[in-house]
Amino acid sequence: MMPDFLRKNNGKQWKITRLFSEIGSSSQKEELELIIEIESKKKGDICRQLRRIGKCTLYEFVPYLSLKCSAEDAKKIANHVYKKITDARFERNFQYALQNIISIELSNKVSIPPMKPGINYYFRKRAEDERFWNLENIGAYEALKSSSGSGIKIGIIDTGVDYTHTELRNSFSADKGYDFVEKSSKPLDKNGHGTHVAGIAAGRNCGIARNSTLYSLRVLDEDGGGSEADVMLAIEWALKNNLHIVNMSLGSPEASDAFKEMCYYAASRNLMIVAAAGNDGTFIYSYPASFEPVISVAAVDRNNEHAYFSNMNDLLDISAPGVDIVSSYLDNSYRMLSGTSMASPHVTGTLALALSINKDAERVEEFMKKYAQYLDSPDNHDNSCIFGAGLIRADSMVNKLRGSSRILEKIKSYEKKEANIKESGIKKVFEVIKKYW
Amino acid sequence: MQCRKNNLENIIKGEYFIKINTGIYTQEEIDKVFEQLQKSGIELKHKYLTGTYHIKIADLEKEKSLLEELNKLKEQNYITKIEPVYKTKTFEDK
Repeated sequence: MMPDFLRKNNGKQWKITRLFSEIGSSSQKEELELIIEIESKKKGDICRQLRRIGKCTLYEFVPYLSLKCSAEDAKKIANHVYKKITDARFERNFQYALQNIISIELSNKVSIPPMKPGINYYFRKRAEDERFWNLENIGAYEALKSSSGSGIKIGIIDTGVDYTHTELRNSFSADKGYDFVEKSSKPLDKNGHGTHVAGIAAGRNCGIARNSTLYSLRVLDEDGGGSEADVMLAIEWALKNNLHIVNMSLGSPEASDAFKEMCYYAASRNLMIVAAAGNDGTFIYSYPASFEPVISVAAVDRNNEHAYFSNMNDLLDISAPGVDIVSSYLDNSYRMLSGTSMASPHVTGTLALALSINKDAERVEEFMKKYAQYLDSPDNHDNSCIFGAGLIRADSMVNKLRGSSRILEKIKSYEKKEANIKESGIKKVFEVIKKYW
Repeated sequence: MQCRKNNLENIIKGEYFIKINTGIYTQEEIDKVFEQLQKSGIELKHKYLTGTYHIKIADLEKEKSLLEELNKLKEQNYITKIEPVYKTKTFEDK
């Protein structure tokens, strides 16, 4: 159930989260319109001061004013009000106004971020020379020095995957997976969603687990719709073919107990199930993400701030980048998309790197949460309902797992040596006994 | 945790998940039940590893009467659960 503090603060929390998310995804000079609640008796003076920042308009009958200003100034004001972070010079110049602000929210006429999602993306350099911000933010490049996910089988339960794409073709073996929509062994993508997701999880340049093996399990048609019955078939396929992880960037607000039981069953057989938390941007559950054994993934932007569309609830496990993510798309192209669908495969890919070191799914999940990067919520509430355990960190997770595996190996080798010593000691005793018997 | 349910827009018409009471009946008896069901127009699509059966009523005009039949089997304790199959989808690009 939703914790009390969230039930009480749903609206306020949401507005603050959206405010910081929009400010974070805007360029510094971009103009935003803020609706500011102020002390009603001091309206005129506050407005006069704020006019030095941007166009300020007073509302006649309510204690609010609108301020059109740069994202940079909006951030300074929001930081002062909600995070108590102050820019000394800014505060000196606008002290009176800042002291009398009660709350801030974004006007609904917010300007859109500089790059619209869902557009084709062309690299300035070669794809293999590109450094992707989303991979940098979770420490994937560092983690790739220790593990590349080899020996790990990942199922992409989605709209299919274009396994002929240059990013992905080396990740597939002769067995491509299965198409549960058209009952065929050629699960090609006719939508693009699955290809994008697969690229993030294991693409050669834009992905994480670059040496793992991918399987396309097509359960969604060209419009992105499907049945949970087919998703359950795909999970069964994954179990029968000994896959280690499945990614489900899909969901529904409703689900059957049969689907829930399948997820529990699969998890009990050590299949790691990762799913997107959903893009409603509200306090809502989505399934399969909100089934307890499923790793539910929320999205953050490039500043590691909550993505405005990412669902919030007490069953979130972890966060990952999900805004303006570049990955493979249909026709051997690349596209920039946003959504929790994009956040989920970051976790899937990272888990593959970890499983490649240690196949104990429970331990890997424990490390995922333990070494996640703590993320702050704008008004210092318990933020697990927004970010889960925090931002997934591929570098710390892989390094710590590598370290703990080494320690385990050492312990085992000591135990072996000790056993040998004991054995040889017993032999010597027997030899002495034989000699003097 | 209880899933939120019963929005008809999200349901796939004519498809159901059912659970058979394996504690009381043998596989042979269960097979007989399915033979009867298939004769009356209920198609068995798949039996999952979890023991859930996915069934389909192709002729939607018969859906009401066939559901009544299934409910009778539930009353007789052959079937322990009948529930609809839900749609799922990709999350729209934001």
